[in-house]
Parts: sequence; structure tokens; C-alpha cells
Amino acid sequence: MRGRVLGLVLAIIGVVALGVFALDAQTPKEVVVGVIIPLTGSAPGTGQDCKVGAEFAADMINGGVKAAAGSALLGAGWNGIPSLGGAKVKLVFADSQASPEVGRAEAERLITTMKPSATMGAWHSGVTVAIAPVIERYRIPHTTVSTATELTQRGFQYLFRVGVNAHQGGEVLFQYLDWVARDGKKWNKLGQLHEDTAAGVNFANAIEEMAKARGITPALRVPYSREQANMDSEILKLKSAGIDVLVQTSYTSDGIIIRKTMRKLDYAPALIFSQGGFDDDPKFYEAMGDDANFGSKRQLWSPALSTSKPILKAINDEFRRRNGRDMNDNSVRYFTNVQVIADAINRARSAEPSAIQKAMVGTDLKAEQVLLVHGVKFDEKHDNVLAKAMVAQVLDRQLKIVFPAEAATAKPVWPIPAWSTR
Amino acid sequence: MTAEIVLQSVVSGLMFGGVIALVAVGISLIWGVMDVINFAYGEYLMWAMYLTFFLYAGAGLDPLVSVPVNALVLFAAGVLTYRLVIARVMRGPIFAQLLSTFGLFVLLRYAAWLLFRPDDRQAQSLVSNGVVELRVSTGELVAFVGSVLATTALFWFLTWTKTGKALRAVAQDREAALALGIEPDRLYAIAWGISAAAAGVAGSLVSSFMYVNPLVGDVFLLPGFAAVALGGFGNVYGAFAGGLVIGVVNVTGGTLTMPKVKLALVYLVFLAVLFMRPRGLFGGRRQ
Repeated sequence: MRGRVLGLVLAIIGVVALGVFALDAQTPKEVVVGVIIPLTGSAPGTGQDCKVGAEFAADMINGGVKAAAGSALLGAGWNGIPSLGGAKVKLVFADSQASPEVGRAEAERLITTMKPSATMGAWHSGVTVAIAPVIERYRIPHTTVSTATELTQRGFQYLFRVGVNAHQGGEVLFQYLDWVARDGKKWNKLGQLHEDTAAGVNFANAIEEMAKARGITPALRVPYSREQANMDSEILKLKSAGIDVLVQTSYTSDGIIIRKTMRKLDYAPALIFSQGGFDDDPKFYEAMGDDANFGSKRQLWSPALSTSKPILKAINDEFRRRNGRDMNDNSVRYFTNVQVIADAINRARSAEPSAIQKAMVGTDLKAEQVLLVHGVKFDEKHDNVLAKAMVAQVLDRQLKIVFPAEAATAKPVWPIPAWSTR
Repeated sequence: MTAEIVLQSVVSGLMFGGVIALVAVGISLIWGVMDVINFAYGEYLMWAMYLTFFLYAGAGLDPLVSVPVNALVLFAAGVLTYRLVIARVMRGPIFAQLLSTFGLFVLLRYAAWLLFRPDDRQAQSLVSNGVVELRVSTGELVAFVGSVLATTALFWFLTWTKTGKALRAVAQDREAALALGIEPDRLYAIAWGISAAAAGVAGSLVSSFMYVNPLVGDVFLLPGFAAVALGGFGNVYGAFAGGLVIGVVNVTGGTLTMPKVKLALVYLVFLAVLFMRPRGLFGGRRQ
């Protein structure tokens, strides 16, 4: 009797132990990563760029991009996540439709139904502001490239900004203005034209703050709402105020109307500086043709930097072979988002969101490990302390780096030529 | 702020108003004749813009040349809408009518989304990139002139043709018109056809300077409704005038104060008019 009881107990212990060992040995075959981006709505071209950028990075991490082999890029030469026995990164996409309400609902749906280990998005700052509380509530580590300053001011533990914030993106404008001034180029009045959601408002606030700190008084600020067919009064206002350095935040549809209206009303400031949003969307170039030329934007990547980072050209060539176009700021930033997440998962040795979050805090990626001009290292607010930007100008319908000089591939055209001379 | 800038803003406002006016006339016609609000009107405009775009991209047709094609196709679409949907729900409660045009709105928008993808497209016209003195783009000028011509043609039709007179008779008093032997059903179909054709013409005209995407109907529909209400519900002359007023208040008002408040100004004027003349500027007369 006693022997049978002992046998039973031993058997139970054995089964439990086996179970424990089995659990321990069980590693996930794939890690699900959610991507919330605007695939329809007012910025579908941009969403598509983000999507192919993220997919390209996931393919590299899963061993499908031979062009990356032998480089310092994080994930090059991997065949899945190394510390998880080669578990594959699986991306699942959700469409924000460029709307905060839809983005929020989609983030919630994605998190509850797909159980992702981490998420990224939502490109539009206004949408990211709306989904941040959702990801915080579900405790899912989340990377973003949205620029709105407020995102990292609210003490979120799970939100990490991989790209520049509004200040880092605006900083380069003032460095550029100093640089062109040393070249004897003059300007008088700085003004702003911006759409009135988080991206536009935060960037305009940052620019105003930085201008004042440098003793520059911004002359005029014109916010506008995107849903309208006519922008004549906005442009007339800027023209009559004589604004010749114009800081513009727009998305594609409104960016098209604004540029057409500038042409119509013969308004050509010396400099148009944007943080992207319209002038990195291929659709803007299709619609505007040569009128897309001469605008400038803050830029985070250039294949032309390949003299210092040879891998950039190889990667861009492979991307172009697959997608028929060069990488741009959006595809590169979403590529980097995937790298940052994969790196955190690998160091966490786990597909558990909380473990990944802890690992992500300690992210320390050097510039040569990512495609961006800068590396990735987070401060206590989870802003990227290494983030910095360059200035690119649209010349011959292509973005060419014009500042800083060591990265430049073209000389800036300053001032923007009058419409009548084009 | 110089006089030149103010004058420019008035001219810009009139150009913008001309397009809104044509949209408002189309909405107003249906309302005037049969007391139905067509929430899907902006979507007709959007489909017309896609038709223009594909005629341009596929057959190389200049948006201005596609005006008659658009007018005919949209006329047919309007008649079809009436026969298939509206004629049936006219017998139901007013809610059924409201919901049916709202349903059409949803159907047309998401069908466009599915078929045409959400990207912005832009047709190019001979008149797309020119600018004439006082800085009016040739595209806008042509759209304005086209809008005035189309509205004049409609006025002429309503005033002088037998069908036009019958339409006005039905609008003024359906029962009396019936007693006179006028067949409202056929006239309703025609009214829907003409209203949709106006969207067709407007769609072609704006395509030389405006991008098209599945959401573009909204940016014309709301000012269009405001113009209809401003001019007096159901009065097509008033709707046209309302469109011009809205254009000028929008652009000149925005330029003189702050562009951010221009829509508020439009609705302020709208409220002021309704306060003083509750039936709109030209309200009371059903034309």
C-alpha cells in the first residue's frame, strides 16, 4: 500500500517535472509585433512606405536579406531572434486611417486579438497621442517615430521614441540658418504655417521656443485645419506679412493645395522648411511635378552617406530592387523601429512584453547598427538622446542633403526662385 | 494689409464660391422639388472627379473636354438612383429617406475606397498651371465661368421649357400639379438626373486644380449645404448666391482676420442671415 502511494507520488512528481522541463524547453516559433499605420485615409502613400520598411527589416531579421550579411546592422546575418532559438518576427498590421479614434480602436483590437509582444506606430502624432494610453494600459512596449513633444512628457513607461522629437527636428533649422547666414545669405521674417493636430502644433511650439531663445521673434503663425478645399487666405496672410523663412507642417492632400496656391498667388519665400509629412510622400511628387522642387525638410537618412556607412547603399539597392524606389525617411524609420524591437527581444531572451520593456530601456544601438543618421539610446523619458537631423532640399524632384556640409550631396538653392522665373 | 491683397482675396473668394455655388444648386434642386436632402451629393462629385481622372489617365482627355461626358453619365446615375432607391423610399417615413441617402453616401464612399485605393490623384489640364492677372489660376477661372454657364443653363431650363415649368409647379404645389395632369414621378427622376449632372460638371471643372481621393466629397459638401441654407432651402437662385457669399466670406474674412477662424466666420454670417431672415436670403419663394 505504502509502496503504491510512494509510486504514485513519484509518478506525479515525474509528470510535473517533465512538464516544467517541457515548458522550459518550449520557445516560441514566432514573435508577433503589431504595426499601427495609416494605410488608408489622408496619408496612404506614407503608410505604405512605413509598411514596406518594416517588412524589409523583419525579412532581414528572419534571414531573408542577403545584402545585409557581414555588415554591422543589427539583425544582419540573423536567422530569427538568436536568443529565442531563431523565432521568426511576424508583423501584423492595423490601419489607423489617419484618425485618432480609429487608431485607438485598432490598437486595442490588435493588442487583444493578436497578443503582440511589442507594437509600433502610428506615424501621425495625433494618432500616437491617442493610442499611447492604450498601449500603456495593456503594458505593451511600443516604439514610435512621431515627433510631438508631449508624447514623452506624460511619464509613459512603455512608449519609446526612436526618431527625433519636435525640438531635435527643429534644432537643425536654426543651425542651417546660421550656416547660410555665414555664406552672406539674408532673410527677414520667420513665419509658420501648420495643420492643427499634434504634429503641427507641437512642432510650431518648439520652433517658436527655440527661435525666441536665439533672439529671433517669429513674425506670424498660421494654423489651419486639413479638411478644406481652399487655402487662399492662409497664403495671402503669409505673403502680405512678407514671411521669407516659412516653417510648414502639412500632410499630403493639404500640402498639394498649399503648394498650388503658393504658385497661383506668386508666393515664394526664401526657404520652406518642413518636418516631412507631405514632401516625403511619393504621391506629392506625382501630383506636383516640378512644382515640388525647392522645398526643404529635416531628413534622417541618406544613401549618400554610404562613404562613411557603406551598408546604406547595399541596403538601399536591395530595397529598390524589391520595391522599385529608394528608401526614404519613413521606410528607414520603420525599418529601425523593427530593429529596436528585435534587439530588445533578443536581449530579453523572452517574448514577454514586460521583459522586452525592461530590455528596451537599456537599448544602446550605435549609428552603424541602424540606417538612421543617428544611433538609438533612450533617456529617462524614453526620448532618443542620439537623435539628430540633416537638411534635405527637393532638387530635380529628389531630396538631396544640403546640410551639414560633410553629408551634403548638393549645394542648397537659396533663395527659392520666384515662380515667374521657373 | 494692402488694398491689393484685399481685392485679391475677394477675387479668390468669388472663384472658390463659384464651385461651391454649383454644388449648392445641385443640392437645392432636389430639396426644392421633393423635400429630400441628398447626403450623398458630395460622393457624386467625388465619383465624377474619378471619372474625369480616369478619362484623363486612360484616354488622355483634358478635364475640360470631359465636362459633357461627365454631365451625361452623372445624369444617368441620378435618374437610376431615383428609380432604384428614392422612388421606393418616398412612400416611407421621412427617416427612411434620410437614411437611404446616408446609406448611398456610405456605399459610394467605400466602393471608391475599394476600387480606386485611398491615394491622392491629380489630373492635369491645359489650364492647370496658368495664372492670369490678379492672380487667378486659369483652372479656377475656367471652373468659375463653367459654373456660371451651367447654372445659367439650368435657370433657362427651369424658366422657359415645359419640363422646367412643370418642375417648378411640382416644387410649388405637388397636389395642384397632379390635378393639372403633371406626372411627378417622371419629373422627380429628371430632377435627380439634373442634380447629379451638376455634380458631374462640377467634378470635371474642379479636377484641373484639385486632387481627388475618396474623402474629397466632404470638403465641398459642407460649404455646399451652408450655401443652400444661406440662400433659402429649395431656392436654386439663392443657393448660387449663397455659394458666392460663402466663398468671399471664407477667403476675404480669413485674410482680414485669421485664416483659422474663416469657417467660423462663414457660419457666423449664416447665423446672422437666419436671425434676420429665417428662410434664408432668398427664402420663401420656391424656384
